[in-house]
Amino acid sequence: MTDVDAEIIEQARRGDPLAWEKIVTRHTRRVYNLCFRFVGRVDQAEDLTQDIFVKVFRNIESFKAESGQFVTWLMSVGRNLLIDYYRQSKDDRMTVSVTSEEDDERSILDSVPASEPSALAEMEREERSVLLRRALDRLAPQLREAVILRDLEELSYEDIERILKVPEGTVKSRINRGRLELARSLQKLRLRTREI
Amino acid sequence: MKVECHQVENWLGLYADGVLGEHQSSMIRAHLGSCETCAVLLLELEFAIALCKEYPELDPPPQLIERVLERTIGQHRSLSWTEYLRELFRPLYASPRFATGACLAAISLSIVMNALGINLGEVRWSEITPQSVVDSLHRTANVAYDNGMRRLNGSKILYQIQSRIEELQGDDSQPQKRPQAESESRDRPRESSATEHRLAVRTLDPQCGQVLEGATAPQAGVL
Repeated sequence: MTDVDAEIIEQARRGDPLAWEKIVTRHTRRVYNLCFRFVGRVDQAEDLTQDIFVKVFRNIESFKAESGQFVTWLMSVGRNLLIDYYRQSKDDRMTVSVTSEEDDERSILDSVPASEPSALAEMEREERSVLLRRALDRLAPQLREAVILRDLEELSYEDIERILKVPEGTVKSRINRGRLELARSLQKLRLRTREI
Repeated sequence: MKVECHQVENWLGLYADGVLGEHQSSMIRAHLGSCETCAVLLLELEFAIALCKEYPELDPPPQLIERVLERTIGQHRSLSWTEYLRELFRPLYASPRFATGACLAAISLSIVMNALGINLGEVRWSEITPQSVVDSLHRTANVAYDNGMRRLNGSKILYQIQSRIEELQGDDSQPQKRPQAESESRDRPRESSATEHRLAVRTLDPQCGQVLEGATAPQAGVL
């Protein structure tokens, strides 16, 4: 953490609204993308981003600069909230009847923000994103968060250890299993798409 | 030591990351060379990682920051526009990837500028006109062409080819003169070396010069 970051965080802890505003402005994009990668819907990602910042604001006193970077701590808080959210929504999902593949696909497509479908490459990229989203949704939560943190957030193994609060061996095992399951899931989805 | 497919599966995700030791990596490489199933699985895994890397990063809606501030400190944005933009893009320009990209772009630009003969220290804004850029490009192209032609003309291989062509042309036009020309070219070096030898002896030993000169005179006559 740089001196500037440490100073701003210290000011925010003392209750300086301008310092807090700087923190929010600086980290909103990252938190928002983390949420979107976990839940796959922009409206939910927005709500969750707000919830995470509210939680960070209330608990900023508990952040210890010597235990790691602020961003890692922020992601850790975010991850805990996202896991809570997942547990709640899982109960909701259990009551929902199984939807058809077409409905599933449509809902995912709706969740991705509309963009200019001018180029074929852009369309293909979006298709791949949808495919990945569906494959990620099929992973077990522990494996999914490991893959998201490593391959989408591109965090180091050490940072993931700190965020998940598990030993290095567990992190590596989850990343390995998560990647393998993701690869197999993508393979199946691609084959099914070709059949259609 | 040979490894089984299920063992490879336990490592494949980390192998793709390059975090395994050399011993494990070499065992996996050996296995992948002989097992098509695992080789295909690795390809699928690399495809999955590549998809993750290209997953789009979304821009948060502009009002999201306002909403967060409203819910936490109960007020709207108070940062000035410059501060706001600086903070907004700080994670982007403070990242190592951005720094590397910026350095590479600067190096590429300097190479291009150098090739175009532009020295930024000497350039004035008033001098940067379309005509001056075109002139500069034209001049650079001419200099490059001249340098290239000079090197080509000065190259040894060209001389060799040229002399060979001349030889062949000479063969076609005057085949009967060749033995004579060959004997002349054979004798010429001997003559010059003998002359050089005499001169060298004179220079080194002026006292014995006459004796030596006398001794060498018949040789010169023979030559």
